[in-house]
Formats: sequence, structure tokens, C-alpha cells
Amino acid sequence: MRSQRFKNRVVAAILTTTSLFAVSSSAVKAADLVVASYGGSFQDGQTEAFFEPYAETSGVKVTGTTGTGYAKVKAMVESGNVIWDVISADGAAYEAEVVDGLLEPIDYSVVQADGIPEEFRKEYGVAYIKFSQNLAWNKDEFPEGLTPAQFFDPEVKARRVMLGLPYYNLEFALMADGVAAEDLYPLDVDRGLAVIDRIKDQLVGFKSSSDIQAFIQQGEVDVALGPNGRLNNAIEAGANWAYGWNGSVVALEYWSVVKGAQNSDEAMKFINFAVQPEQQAELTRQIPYGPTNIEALDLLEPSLAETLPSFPANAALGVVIDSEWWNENLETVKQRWDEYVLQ
Amino acid sequence: MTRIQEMIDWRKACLLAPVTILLLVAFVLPLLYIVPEAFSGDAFKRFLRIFQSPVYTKIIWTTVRISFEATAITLFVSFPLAWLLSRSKGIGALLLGLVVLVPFLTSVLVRTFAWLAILGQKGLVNATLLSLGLISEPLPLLFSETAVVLALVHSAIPMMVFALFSVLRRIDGRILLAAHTLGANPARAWFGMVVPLAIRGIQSGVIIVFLFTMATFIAPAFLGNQRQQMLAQVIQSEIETGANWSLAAALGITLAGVATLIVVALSIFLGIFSRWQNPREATQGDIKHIPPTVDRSVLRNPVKRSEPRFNMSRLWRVVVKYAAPTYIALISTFLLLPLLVLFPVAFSSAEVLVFPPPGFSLRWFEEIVNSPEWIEAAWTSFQIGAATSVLTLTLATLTVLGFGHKFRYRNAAEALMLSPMTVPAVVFALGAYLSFSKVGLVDTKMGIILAHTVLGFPVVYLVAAATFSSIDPGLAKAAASLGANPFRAFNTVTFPLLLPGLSVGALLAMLNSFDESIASIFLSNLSVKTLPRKLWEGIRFNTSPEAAAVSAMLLTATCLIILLGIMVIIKRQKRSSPALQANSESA
Repeated sequence: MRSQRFKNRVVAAILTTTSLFAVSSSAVKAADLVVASYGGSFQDGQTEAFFEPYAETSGVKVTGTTGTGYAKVKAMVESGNVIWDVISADGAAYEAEVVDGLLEPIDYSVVQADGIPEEFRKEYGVAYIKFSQNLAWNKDEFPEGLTPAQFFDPEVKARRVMLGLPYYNLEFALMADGVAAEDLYPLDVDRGLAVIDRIKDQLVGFKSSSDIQAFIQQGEVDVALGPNGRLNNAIEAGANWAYGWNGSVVALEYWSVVKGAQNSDEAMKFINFAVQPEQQAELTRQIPYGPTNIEALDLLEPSLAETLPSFPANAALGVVIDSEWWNENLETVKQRWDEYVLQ
Repeated sequence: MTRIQEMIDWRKACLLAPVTILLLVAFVLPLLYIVPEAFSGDAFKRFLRIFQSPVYTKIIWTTVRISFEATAITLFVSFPLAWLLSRSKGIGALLLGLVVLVPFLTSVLVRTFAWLAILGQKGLVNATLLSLGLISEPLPLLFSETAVVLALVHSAIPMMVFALFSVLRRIDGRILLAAHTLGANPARAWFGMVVPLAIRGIQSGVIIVFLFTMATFIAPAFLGNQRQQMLAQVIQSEIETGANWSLAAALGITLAGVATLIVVALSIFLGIFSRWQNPREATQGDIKHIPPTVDRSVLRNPVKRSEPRFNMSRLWRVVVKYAAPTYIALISTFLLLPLLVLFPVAFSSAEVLVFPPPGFSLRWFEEIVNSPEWIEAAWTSFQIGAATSVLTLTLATLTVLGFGHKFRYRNAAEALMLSPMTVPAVVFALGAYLSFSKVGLVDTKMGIILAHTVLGFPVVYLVAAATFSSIDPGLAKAAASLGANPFRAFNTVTFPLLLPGLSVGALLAMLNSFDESIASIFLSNLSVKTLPRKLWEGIRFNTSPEAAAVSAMLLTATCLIILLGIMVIIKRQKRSSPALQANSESA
């Protein structure tokens, strides 16, 4: 008797769970628009400035995800299993993706932004921010500040962190080693890697930009080479840090649509929304990356302008990345870089 | 007669068919799928690249070295714990068992995250040492090989303890007394008696732990630095960045190959060193040789011998008296501290991982409860766990019945059924990813349920089989002779007796699926996010106390489920007849 009752209960439990499962699995709906970015405080800013307001005004569900990058986009297009619609791509990744034909052409009948200079409205992508990679240091450890040359000086003992990417890092290393900004390209990859090698054993690792911000805030590192916006947000969150513009490497970030995207029409509308002055200004308030839409600059508070890579005094100290050179050389340099990192 | 035989075989085949199909489709096929992927295109060049380039050979070597370090330390640390556990009874045994069980059933991700909070520059260890004035600068503990090995040992201790425990508890404690009476010093008694008797447990523990450490990528990814990358980590990042599936597959085969080679070598090595591995009759020579020496020494110096023995045993007793409690305190701290650290961090008011927290607040819990993403992930994990649990349980019951009490090819068949335990998880996850993506099963609940069922099946089967073997086959026969058809006999006799074992198995399958990270990380993406997957992303992109709060909640849920399980067992033990009691104990 007792076992019968127990058994009935078990059977009932099994039936309930299976039916629950069946009901809920049929209720799951695919995301309407998928945007791939980088996570962390940058993506939080994007969510605030773009994803949420767009979902509100259009009624389309926007799912933000992470992991955008040339290799992933390539794998996605080649496997035919395209689950991303819009990607945020840095200049080098964008160029490589164009070469491999991984992107849809931008529909400029939908994307209308006269405030964005002609040279930023490319066939397969719209540049939407200008950002830079800067050197940052813990003010407790280095009250006097730090020069790029010191970053690569093994005698200056510090826990360091760099991005896990060949671009920016090589430029920064070469300039720190004395190469003038105008003589940078074509890059001397061997020399650049040799410079980085001097302090490789003092590196906590080659990490993602969100890691860099987290490490600064947690006090895991003393010196960092990372995106200016993340550095700024780490300081705003309370880290006693500073960053400089010496040797900074400026680059563009693009909106693009993955070839074969399931919602490419919606994707174009989203990009159009995101490059409008108000949205661009809002992103800059969240994280100080420079808007490409000049009308957005007018909407910004003047104090914010000084923190942007496009501010003349800042721009004078750095270099703008040569996307054409990377367009031709990314594939080979990337392979060397990957092996170097694993060594 | 032959017709009856045929019929029985046919019935058995029916019962065994579902699990066979599952293992073939969702386990063997994915593994086989790695091979063509790895050998596609210019395979020669690919493997040449792996074995010739100093980069990959260094990674292989690092992987093996770290695995050996972690396995050796784990064995050394776990043996006394397993021994004490096998000797303890009642409430002591329960508490000690929980110390081992709770970390075991907690997600690897949760445990790894805890190490971030302990070893960080502003973590527990550095904060303590700084406040004690023992150091003036925080020690660089994180992002080092030490951190990786520490986390691996922490994860591996429960596995090792379980493997050792099952063997150690069968050892009669009086053999130590016997050895002592015969004049063996403690070291000789332990290494001459207990260790050789436990060699089977040591062997299986070492192999399980070694395979686990070889296949791990979570600890090295979060706690290591680029100088000691491990193979599984490289495979995972190749898949995550989508860069090179063929290279990932080739690395997967390399990992499986190296692991198999070392496991075989280990088995042979440990086999040689065990005289008890295959007990045999003593030969004439042995008997002739030994007695005279023993007799003579005892007869010659009876008084002299007893004196040092007395001193020795007194000293030994003092050591034992303090050694065991100290050891238990230390090992319990090591096992539980990482989990306990999560709670203060989860209530932290700071933005980042800082120990001790500057203030306390509920903000992270509020954030989680108000985040539809976390809620959805938890719900997804629950559904997948429930479905996995039901599926695994059904399959395990059918399999146990299929094998019956007598099955000619039982050993071979059982080895096949348990094979998912012997393949490094990352290799299986890789195969599942490659093959499931061809049929659209990646990023679906179905895909993850299949993978979790494969991974959870061996554990549930072992529990169910242990229960089944303790059921008297005569009972079902008696039912049959009283006119019950096989279904009715199963329904009224066998199934109720199996239930305690099955419910424990179901609980384990549920927990396993709920906390499983490796297959989840590989197989889920956008539309399906399990809790571990979301946690993985959370830790990757934001090491905020939010992850600690989720971990604390997961841990609490796990503990509640364990308590529930224990309560169910105790309740059933109290209510049921002595026969059932024996069953649930064996479960």
C-alpha cells in the first residue's frame, strides 16, 4: 500500500516535470535582434544608450551578447549558422571581415546620418565611435606617473596587463621603443614583440578589455594598457588611478551586419537609430568614447570633451591606427601573435 | 529451452536498447565526429604543428605536469580523510561526509570564483596577512600555477575521497592492531598493510582525478596566466572564438591520447606495486621461508622487544590524539572556506571583489532577483535538470533490469555504460559541439539535456545497480510463482525496493545537471542559457560581487537539496522494514 502511494507520487512528479518542460520549451521564442559586443561597462553603456531605447521605441526585442571578433564572425558565416545580426567591430576586425566577405552592405537608404563624415560611412559599416588605447597606472604606486618607455622597462617592477590583440599593443610598444608616429607603418612586428617580451613575465596576462577594468578596480594590477573609456569608468568607480595620452593608439569602432543575418532589415534600422546624435551623445556620457556624429558633440557637456581621444591636445600625443595596413597584414600577424601569447 | 532463452534475450535487448541508442547517438557518435574534423584537410600539417611547434608541446607538457602535481597532492591529502571517514560512525560520519559532499556537489565555477575572492590582491589571504603585519605588500597569489593547482586539488579531493572510501571501509581495522602486535612500527603497518589493501581505490581515485585535471579549463582560465595554459583551455578558446575547429579537434584527440596513455601507464605501474591486486594462494616456498625467522626472533628476545614497542605506541598515541583533530580542522577549513567566503562577499556593498567587504548590503541580491536574465537562466537550468533527471532515471532503471541478476557479458557491458566517466569532459563536450551543430542541436535545451544525460547516466546507474544487487532475486520469482506477470512483479516488488536508490540517483542527476559547466559552456549560447553558462559569462566579463551572490544562492540551493535528500533517506529508513533499511544504506 505504502509503496503504491509513494510510486504514484513519483509518477505524478515525473509527469509534472515533463509537462512543465514541454510547455515552457514551446514558449521560448528566438530573439528578434541580436547585437554582439564586448561585455562589461562598454556593453552596459551600449545597452543604456542603444539597446533599451531601441527596444522601447520599436517594440523589437534586442538581445545583447558578447564575443564579437573576426574569427567568430568568420566561423559563423562559413558554418551558415548565423545567429548574430549586428556586430560591433573594431577597425582591424572590420577590415578583415570586409576582405573575407563576411558582412552585408549597409543600406544607406535606411541609415541616415548626415552628421557622420563621409569617410566614416563605409560600404559595409558605419564608424560610430573613436576610442583609444591608453597607458594607465595606480597613483599609489606611481604618484609621478608613468611613461610608455617605463611600461616596457623590466626594471620598473609592476603587475601589468595588456589586451590580447596584436593591434594597439604593437604600435604602442614600437612608439615606446622610440619609433616616431609617422614611421610606424609598415610595422616592425619582430621588434614590437621583442619590446613586449621584455616585460612578458611581469604581465598578469593578455586579457579582454572588461578584464582590464575589473583588474584595475580590484587592485590586481599596478599598470594597464587599455581602452580609454574603461580606464575612465574604473576611475569613476573609485580606483585611485590615472591615465595618460602619451603613445595612445586611436581607432574606430564600426557597426556592421553579419552576412546572412536573419534580421538584416531590422539590423539596418537599429544601426540608423544608434548613429543618431542623441544616442551617440548618450553613449559618450556612459563611457567617454568619442562620437563620430559631429552633431552629437554639440549635445555633450564641454568638460566631457577633454576626456575624448578626438580632443586636439589628446590627439596630438597619439597615433591613429592604419587600418589599411592591418587590412593586408592581420591574418599573418594574428597567427604570429597567437603563438607568441601561448609561448 | 532454446526458445525461452531467445525470448529472455529479446526482452533484455529491449530493456537495454534505449540506453544503447542514447550512448551511441549522443556519446560515441560525437566522439567519432572529432576524428574526421581533426583529420580534415591538411591533417598531417596540423598534427605536425601541434607536435613540432614548441608552443603546443609546451602546453601539453604543462597540462601533464599540472595534472600530476594536482593528483599527487590530492592523493596525499585525501588518504587520511578517506580513512577517518571510513572509520567514523553516526553523527561524526555524517558531518565529515557533508564536508566532502558539499564542495563536490557545488559548481566548479562557484568554487573557482571563490578562489578569486581568497587569493586576490585584496582577497582574504592578503587582507589577513596584511592586517597581521606579516607582509607589507600583497603577495602575487592569483594568476599563478599555485592558484591553479590549489583550485584543482580542492575540486579533486571529494572525488579521491569517494574512490578511496569505498575500498577503505572494507578494510578490517584490526589488521593494524595485528600488525602492531607482530612488531611492525606504524609506518610499516600503514605502508605495508593499509596502502596495499587500498591500492584499488588509489588506482581508481588517481585515474579519475587525473582525467578531471587534464580536462579542466575553468581553473586555468580564471586563476592561471598565459605562462601555464592547459590543453583544454586552448580547445575551449578555439571553440569560443570560433577560430579553428579542426585545430580544436586535433587538440582534443591529442588530449584524449595523452590522457589514455598516461592512465594505462598509471594502471600498470600501480598494478605492479600491489601484491594484493590479484590475491593468490601462498606457494610452498613462502610458507617454508617465513616461519623460522619470526619464531626465532620472538623466542630470543621477548623482554627487549616489548619495551621499545611500549614507548613507541605511547608516543604514537599522543601524536594520533592531536594529529587527527588538527588534520580534520585543517582539511575542513580548506574544503569549506572557499564556499563560506562567498557569503560575506555576496553581501558586499563594494563594486568589486574586496575582502573584507567595506560594508554590507543586499544590492547584489536585488540586482539578481530583478534581472530577467538570471531568473530565466535559473529556470532553464531547472527545466534541463528535471528533464535530465527523469531521462537518466528511466534509462538507469531499464538498464539495471536489462542486466538482471545474471548477465553473461556484464563486465564488458558495464564498462561501456560507464565509459562517459572515463573520457575527459572537454573532449566529449567538443565532440558534442561539433556533431550537434550539424543537426541544429547546439544552443537548444534538447542538446544540453542529451549531453547531461550522457554525463549523469554512469553515476545514476552505479547507484541503481548497487541497490538492485542487494534485492533478493527470489522475491520477483516468488511473485511470478504467485501468478504475477513480469510487469506486475516489477511494479509491486522490484520497483518499490529500487526506489530509495533511484531517488538518490535522481537527486544526483539533477544536481549534476544543474551545476554542470563544461558541456553547458560548449553547447549553450544565446537562446538557451543555463545558470553555469551565465555565471561563466558573468565572471568573464565582470568580476563583481554579483557572481558571488549567484554563487551563494546556488550553494544554498545545493545544500538544501542535499539536506532534503538526507531527510528523505532517514525518514524512509525509519518507516521502512529492516530489509528496506539495508537497501537504502547501500544506496
